[in-house]
Amino acid sequence: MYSPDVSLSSIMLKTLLINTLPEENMTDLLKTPALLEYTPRGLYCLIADVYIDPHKPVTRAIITHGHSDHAIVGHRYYLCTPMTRAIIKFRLGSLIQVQDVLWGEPVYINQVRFSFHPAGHIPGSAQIRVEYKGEIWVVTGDYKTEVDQVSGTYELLRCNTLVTETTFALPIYQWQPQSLIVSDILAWYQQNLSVGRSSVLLAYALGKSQRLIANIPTDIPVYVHGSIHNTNDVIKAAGLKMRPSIKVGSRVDKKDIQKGITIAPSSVLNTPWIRSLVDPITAYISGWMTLNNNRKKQPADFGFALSDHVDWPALNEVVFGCGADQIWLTHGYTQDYAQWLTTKGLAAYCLQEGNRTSTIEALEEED
Amino acid sequence: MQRFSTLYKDLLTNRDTGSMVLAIATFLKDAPTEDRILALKLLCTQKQPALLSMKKLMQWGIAYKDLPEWIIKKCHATVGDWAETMSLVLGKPHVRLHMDGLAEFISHYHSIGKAEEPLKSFLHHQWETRSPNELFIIHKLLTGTLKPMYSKPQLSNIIHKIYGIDANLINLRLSQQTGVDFTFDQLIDPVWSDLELSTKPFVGQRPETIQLNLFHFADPTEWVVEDFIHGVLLQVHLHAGVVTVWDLHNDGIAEEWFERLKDLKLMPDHSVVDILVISEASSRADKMILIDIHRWAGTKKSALGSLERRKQILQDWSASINEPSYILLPHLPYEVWSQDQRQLSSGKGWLVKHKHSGQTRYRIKPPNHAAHLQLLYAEYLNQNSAIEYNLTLGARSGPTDFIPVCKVHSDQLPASDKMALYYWIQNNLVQRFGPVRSVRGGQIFTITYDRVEINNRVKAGLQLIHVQVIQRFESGAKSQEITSLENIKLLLQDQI
Repeated sequence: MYSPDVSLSSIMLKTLLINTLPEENMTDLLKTPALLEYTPRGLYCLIADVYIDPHKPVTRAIITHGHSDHAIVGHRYYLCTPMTRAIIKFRLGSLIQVQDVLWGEPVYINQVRFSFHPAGHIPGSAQIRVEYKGEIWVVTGDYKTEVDQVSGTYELLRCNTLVTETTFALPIYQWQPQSLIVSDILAWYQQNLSVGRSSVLLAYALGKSQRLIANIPTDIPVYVHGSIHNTNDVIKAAGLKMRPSIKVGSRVDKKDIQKGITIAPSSVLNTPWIRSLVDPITAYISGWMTLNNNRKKQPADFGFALSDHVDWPALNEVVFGCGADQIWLTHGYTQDYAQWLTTKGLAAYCLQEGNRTSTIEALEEED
Repeated sequence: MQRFSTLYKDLLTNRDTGSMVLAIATFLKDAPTEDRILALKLLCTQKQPALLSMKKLMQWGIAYKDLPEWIIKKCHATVGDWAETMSLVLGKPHVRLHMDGLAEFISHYHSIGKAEEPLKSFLHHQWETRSPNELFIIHKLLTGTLKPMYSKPQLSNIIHKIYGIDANLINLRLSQQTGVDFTFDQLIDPVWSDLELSTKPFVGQRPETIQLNLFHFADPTEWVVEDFIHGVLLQVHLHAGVVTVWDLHNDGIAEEWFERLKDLKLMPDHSVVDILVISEASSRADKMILIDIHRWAGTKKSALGSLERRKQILQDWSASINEPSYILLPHLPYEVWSQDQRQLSSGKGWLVKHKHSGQTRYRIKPPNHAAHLQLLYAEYLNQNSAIEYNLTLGARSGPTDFIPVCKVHSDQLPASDKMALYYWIQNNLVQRFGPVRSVRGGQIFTITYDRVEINNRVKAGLQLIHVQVIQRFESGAKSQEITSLENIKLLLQDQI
């Protein structure tokens, strides 16, 4: 059995991926009409014997982005964008076997053409375009269409089948423009500053934090938690230009922190780290903060509805704009969105463990 | 609308109290004048009348947005509130330009009325141009479901924190107990207006206002009992250097008392002082007794701060005492005071302080009746102290017969008496077993009681009310010294 060295060039590794395809899968290829299939390990391309964002360890995994629900440890080979490569090597360990692919660069695995296109979710996040004999599938991964300054610009891809996330697929989820949310955050910060309180934004360390840092005016100092600082270093090293931020540590004067904006993961709540700040006031940054109930339930003092996922209008734009005649749905309100698409004349299927047919039957019964 | 909707959402969803106060302060600072008082009323209790049912709002919204009903219901299941659901579905999230006032908006939609078509077109216009935050408030207002977020005292405290105006005064005005509709500037005015003073915020006669300077009180530690009070109960309200005197019994206030009140040292604003004026009929005439101070909260009085705080205030006053004709009672619980008012209005009674009790307690009592009764039974209580008994005392009904008329607790006796009584009972038991033990005659007590009541369930046919042991006679007292039942019955007849 060949074990590829990490120093192998990308071309050599592509060849290896193709050559390690099991022979029995080649025969199944002729029987199975679907290019991708949902299996207990995740979304699977039988022809290429490769998984997309598998949630259990597999041999070959194409990774859309570096969040932990999409990139897990344990795969033998990883294929992703250069930025995601840097991120997952930082998060999953430097020993993993990762190959990176540039935006739009085709990778052929057993005649199946894979290419990565910007998803606009977090730095390095990609949609996976899969093409085989003229049939095109697009796996969006997590994505958003609004442009921020760190995640790239979402690219609408035409396809026959779209595999899309539906995390916020209800009409109640319609995001305010980023500029308005940021202005709200800044007004909140100014208010805190006027009464001498430290403003702490609680955001996910990868993606949301960098987005916030990029959108805070440069005259306001930004302080970050160690985990965000380390992630920033990785992202900067991978080529993304970011404004400077200061790591909160013992050498930093807490009174200086009071005058700036601090960004930290939500796990710091009720820890000595946050208690060490001068009269901290916290705000949780998430799309879930759209709903009053969610705001009330979360433990931070405030909430701002800023999301890295696609909202209802944008999701519909993508689904109806990509030209797909069948839509596969994953994450969140899959059943409801499938029902919605059915009323609009599109074939929609929810990705669930188990076979796909049963899900379709269930939906038909509901109709 | 944008300001108020932002404020409402902040208050609804934020968890930090200081920030809530700050949000209200910011709103009150920036909002148009007419919006301020309206917003405060909406935040505490004032509900807007519903022009539209939530069901109709949903139907119109679904038709407008061209969405299936099931998906709206799914949204509602996620959100949990119809007004919020419809605002999120129908609102324009990128809009944030509307700075029209809350009062202006409310008067506008009230002018439309309940007619369906104008209301629908009005709503369509709102849905096209408003943000979800604004629509949330609009939906709540139109359907009459905008819930008050604070009670009036809570909101009064918040305004007190912002403006430093007495919370009690704000509460009175918000509650409209003063009978005056306020503008915001009038609400936060620290001085009572003429209009307020001309109304009747408190019970009693129309107030007369006098200017006061200083008042002195006697040393409270010296005072124990004042007998035979015949007084006029006054209530004095102090605010911003002006004192308003209320004659609670409408007995009329003598000119001389106004003169005396002019010397009253000012207390914290908006406090209420109960003053008992003892008439010339008393042996200690010309005394004013400061019963207690309160804050006036709504329809009843409440304590002015903690007990310690009240004591401190009163002690501060007593420090300036140099005129012995005034008496200060450091504390009288309002409940006790209420109970005693009826008695007080009868004109005669005792003002009693339990000098040795841990708490500073006072009672206004009617004149006592005294009696000498013989100990008949001692009920061993077997509680914390082995020397405590319930003593059943009897009156004389014949040359040698005694009938029980009351029960008292031995705890009212001094410790030395209790111990002596314990030994006496041990040596003079007739019945040794059971909790109630009969004793030989010879122990006689002086008791006082307020009144006699008929009670056919006891052998004597009457019972003494509010019995208190004053004294234990030395042993060897003669039976002729014991009060007879006939004498007590005569008293009962007098009472009837």
